[in-house]
Amino acid sequence: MSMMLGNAMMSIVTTGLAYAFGLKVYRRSNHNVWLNPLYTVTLLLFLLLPFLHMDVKTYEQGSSIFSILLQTGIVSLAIPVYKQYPLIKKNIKKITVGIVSGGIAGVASAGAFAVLLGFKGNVVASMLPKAATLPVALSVSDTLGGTSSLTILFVLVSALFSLIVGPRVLDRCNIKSKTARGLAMGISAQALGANRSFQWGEEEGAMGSVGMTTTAILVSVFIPAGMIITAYL
Amino acid sequence: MKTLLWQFGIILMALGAGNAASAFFHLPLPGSIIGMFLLLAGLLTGIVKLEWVEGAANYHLRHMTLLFIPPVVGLFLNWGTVHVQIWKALIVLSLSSLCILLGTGFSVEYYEKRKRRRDS
Repeated sequence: MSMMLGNAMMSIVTTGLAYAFGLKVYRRSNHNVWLNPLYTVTLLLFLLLPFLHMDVKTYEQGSSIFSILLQTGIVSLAIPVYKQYPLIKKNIKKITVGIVSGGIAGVASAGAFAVLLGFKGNVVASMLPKAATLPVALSVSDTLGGTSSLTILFVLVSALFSLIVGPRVLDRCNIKSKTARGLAMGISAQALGANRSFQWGEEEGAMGSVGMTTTAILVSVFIPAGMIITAYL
Repeated sequence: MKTLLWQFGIILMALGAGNAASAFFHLPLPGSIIGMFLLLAGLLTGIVKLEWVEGAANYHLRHMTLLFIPPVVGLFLNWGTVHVQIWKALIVLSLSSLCILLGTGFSVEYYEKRKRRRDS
């Protein structure tokens, strides 16, 4: 028991310290995109863990506290949404248009391309909820019979791709509307995208948070409901 | 620090209530999303004051990246168990992300343009 507790402490402390270090490097570099703690700290931990004699199981057990914090993180999104509530209410039609078209485009294209390229059921099931933020995507993929490691992979790859390519695509296509830019980043890159859109400004950032939360809600309600309906047909 | 912990306690309570509601009513929504709605409803009705949760929530959201690191590390450490044609998956994921970006971007731009024309 005390052995397990020690291991848990070890993985929490190691992750925390590595993150603190990565954040320092990121700030020193003036927020260079490629030095985002998500990349540097992951690499650092991946290289470091074998030296600490920590295997996968121990690390995952120990770091399970972070998955609870990911959930409280979702709850915390109530605060930016509340603060921007008047702005959201004023633009509700525009936001609905953006989220519905973006969400449908995302789910439909993922499903269509996945089937076209010959992926099997559990892979497609892990791919469909990828536009939702990680904890939500994991629970939806679970109800659909997806594989959790695949879901994590798909969510993160899409988020990273959108984070890196998104701002350039939006510039190239001459999309200037603050609502459009914030929503697009929030829907496609979730927490990372919402963060990125806060760099453009308060309004874009709020739209990013709205895009991310509403997508999570739509995905968690409509995809399981859709699957139940298609199963009955 | 102490106030931050208290504030975090309120957020944790909202999560607990959300999880309980999700389990009790067999809702398809995860507890965290329900918890977010409960907290938002509390703020909008004035039952919860913004000052009670703002500090902890902002701190929490600023360091969201930290929470994504353990699952990514776990993914790399578990790489052997991931059975998928990675290049094909990358094609699907990047095309689908582009569809989201452009679908959202163009629809909102179009909506704004039409509205401006109608207003003027």
